[in-house]
Amino acid sequence: MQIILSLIGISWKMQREYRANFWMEMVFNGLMMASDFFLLYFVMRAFPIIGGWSIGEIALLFSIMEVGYGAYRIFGEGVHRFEELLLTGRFDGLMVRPMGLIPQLLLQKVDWKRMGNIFEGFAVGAFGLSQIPDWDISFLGLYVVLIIASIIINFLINLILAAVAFWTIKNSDLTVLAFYATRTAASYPASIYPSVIRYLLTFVIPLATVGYYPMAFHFGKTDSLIALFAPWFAICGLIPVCLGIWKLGIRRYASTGT
Amino acid sequence: MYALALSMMAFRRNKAYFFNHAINTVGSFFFGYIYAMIWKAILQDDSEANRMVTYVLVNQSILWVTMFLPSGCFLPKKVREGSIAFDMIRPYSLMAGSIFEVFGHALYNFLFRSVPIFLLGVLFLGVQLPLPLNAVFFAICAFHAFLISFFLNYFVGLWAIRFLSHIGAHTFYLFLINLLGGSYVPAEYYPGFLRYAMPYLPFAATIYLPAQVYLGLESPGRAMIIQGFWILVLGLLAWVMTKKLIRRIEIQGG
Repeated sequence: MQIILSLIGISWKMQREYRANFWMEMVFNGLMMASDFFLLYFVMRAFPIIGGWSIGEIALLFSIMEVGYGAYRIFGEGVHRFEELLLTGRFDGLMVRPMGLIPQLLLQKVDWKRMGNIFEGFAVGAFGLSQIPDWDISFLGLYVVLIIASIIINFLINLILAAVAFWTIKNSDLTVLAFYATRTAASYPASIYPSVIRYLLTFVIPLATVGYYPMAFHFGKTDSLIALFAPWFAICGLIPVCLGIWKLGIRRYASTGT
Repeated sequence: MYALALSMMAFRRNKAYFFNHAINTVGSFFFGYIYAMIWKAILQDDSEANRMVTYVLVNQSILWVTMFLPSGCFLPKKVREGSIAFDMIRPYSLMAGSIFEVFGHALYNFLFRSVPIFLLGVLFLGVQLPLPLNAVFFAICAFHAFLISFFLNYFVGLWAIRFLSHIGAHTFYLFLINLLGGSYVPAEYYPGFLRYAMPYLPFAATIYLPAQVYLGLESPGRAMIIQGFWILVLGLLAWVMTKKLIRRIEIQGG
């Protein structure tokens, strides 16, 4: 526990070294991601409904995706740059230390400036709430639960994609396609895509389960209870895949050497 | 000769990762696809929707020679490694060397990213081909867009020379391009004064203006005057700033 805290502390100090840069990155990271939402807002002033969803509903969907992503990026730097660990042979070092591999990966660097994304995600969410006429405390509960699910699913998918690097060594380009593109797709209502893409986002890279299905249930666009519990089905499906691929990958792993 | 060699080197460096780049290109196409689907959901009407799908996909391809130039034009990397010291004593200036190096990179991106993304768009999304004359004007505007993007990125590089860390400045650059470049929302949807100001800013000159010329919605002459103005202003500024900065450069590492 003490080790974990000191690792987190070191990351904080390290990033504060370049102070101006640190704050700039935090603010502009948030603004950069928010600009996608600003643009959507510009368009939706002229067209208030997209794929059956209003701006407030999409804002909440967007917010759930953003906060989950921001939380992942705070602790996910080691997962995000996993190919570098393999390429430089630094992964060997992690294997001989007396701590689980995944906790070590998550503590490679705690990327504090991603707090900007979390602030931004919550700000867009608050805007969404202001646009929804009637919401109560139980909706806030659902929102919080979905954010937790979003964080878990973001981590699981990225851990799986990182493990692919045991076979391919380089995986950053695959991540662009399999995570960044799908993540963006899932920030908008999946009803606008053809069914192939919808299935992909539901069963292959289940990011649509994070916000789209449960929100669709809440806003009365579907009455299937499966939609409400979709993220938990996805998590139950992803965990065995994640554990399996890591076990296989580590068995296969032979150091690249330096 | 130097220029050609520099460009070729940057080009070859990229070719080594061809397969990875192919996957990345499909990913980039998918981003364009998402915005195309949003516009299709908004504008059920065929011809208008088709125009916006074309607009978005043309932008998604052109982004690879404009917005996605190497961050800071390779300067931050050279500052970190200390190799920028050698660039100071070469027989050509820092800025000129940088232009040709980045140009080689952009040429690669054009052939292996822009063109495939555009073709995927034509195949799967029914992207319209331009009228022959518009295509010529578009090519010229796209080259101007490359130059403007080069200067904007070069400023990020200069920031790295001055303040050592460039990521904050680069994120700021990405934010401005994303919000004001118009890559998936054209000027007519921007609120208030932004609607009128946006087409005249250098950010729109790298994405929005060429795409409008492609679609035949903007007079090529006007687009080129705006672009020419920014090339002159930004180019001069970059030249003056390089002169000033080189005098006070700190070399670290090596």
